[in-house]
Amino acid sequence: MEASSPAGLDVTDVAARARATDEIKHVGLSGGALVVGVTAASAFNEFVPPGHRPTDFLPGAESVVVAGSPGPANAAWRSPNRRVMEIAGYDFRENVASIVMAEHIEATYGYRAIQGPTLPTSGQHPPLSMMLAAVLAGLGTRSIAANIVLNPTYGLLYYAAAVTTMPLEPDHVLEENVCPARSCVRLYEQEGRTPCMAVCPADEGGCIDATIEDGRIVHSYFNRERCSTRAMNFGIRGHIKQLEILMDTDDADERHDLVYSDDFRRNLAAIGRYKESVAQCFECMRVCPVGRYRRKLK
Amino acid sequence: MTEPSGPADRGEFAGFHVVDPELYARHRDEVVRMSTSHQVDINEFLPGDVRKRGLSDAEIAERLGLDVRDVTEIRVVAEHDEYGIEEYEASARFKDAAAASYVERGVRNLYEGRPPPTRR
Repeated sequence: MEASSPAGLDVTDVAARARATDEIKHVGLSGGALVVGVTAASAFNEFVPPGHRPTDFLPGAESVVVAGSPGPANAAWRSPNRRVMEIAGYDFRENVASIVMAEHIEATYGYRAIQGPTLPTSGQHPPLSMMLAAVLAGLGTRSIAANIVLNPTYGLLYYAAAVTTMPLEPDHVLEENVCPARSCVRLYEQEGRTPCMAVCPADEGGCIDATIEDGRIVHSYFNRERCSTRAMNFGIRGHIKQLEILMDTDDADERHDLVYSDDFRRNLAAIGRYKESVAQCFECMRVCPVGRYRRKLK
Repeated sequence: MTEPSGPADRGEFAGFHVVDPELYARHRDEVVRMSTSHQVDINEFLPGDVRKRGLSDAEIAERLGLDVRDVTEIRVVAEHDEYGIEEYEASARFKDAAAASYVERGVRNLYEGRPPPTRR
């Protein structure tokens, strides 16, 4: 490692590195992030196999800067029309913030930086886990609810990251698991289920299950593929199902009706406007108490 | 295990690769269970001896003695095969019911033991 960056930053000087870290975080916040945290790239190694670590995408990666942003507007959670959340629940702000930070690092400090690759390149596997990045950067912890990372202040946030060769001051992983909340522990002790487990139980056709002992998660289960039928209810996967039906349909009138159907159009619309293809189910998060007080508005 | 050296090792092969149906049928279930489709105890706050993680395609290939390209294709097809289109319809109805329950009474229905029907 060189003692100084091209911009003159002495990376061995902890104070200078901390100042640069804060400055980059502010750039991310100005770029649309609600929260920004930093983790060492090497922190991934304990949790993910080779091929899914920051250095697999940017050789020499030292740091990962993680941006989080909220999904639906607070009022949308109580909309009488759930379609509001389906089509407007996600706006990619954290992705914008992450690329803004990556560009800033390259332009200002002269270190390499890329936007962390998140969209699956093969089936459902993300190349680099943004949820793990958020946990390691101290922005939240995984919950019972679909393993979604809950920020202690805001609850559900979406995450993106910039991966860089620049050494930065890492944040600490949170000391306590955000989930389960105390009210959820009380319900679990009474009913054997938290609110999220009650609304989407794996043993009754839902996605999630967990065991809580002494207020802590000791076992968790999440059925990602069933969740996909809800959170990606229409889009690429639904379209593939329809194509399969179409290929097996001999009757021309039936084919016509299927291709011209509203559901067929909706799947294509979601693919075309990718924003609609993900984040189409919020039911486990809707009943989660973490951050819910922020939705109490006039 | 050696470090991945190319896109195939990362489960990102480019090109058209079709798996023999018999091979798919034989390994479909175990590939799904070993990957990240069903996530058991992955919470980072669980003790190290309890915490698990899904395996990469390269790791699954090594354990099953298969070509990694076959594992990737088995996994991707199997992810789709887990649920048919009727589940997508059931999911839409579930969301209708769950959202309506929340709009009507917040979380009170849940706390009073009346969760929305998961299937309709």
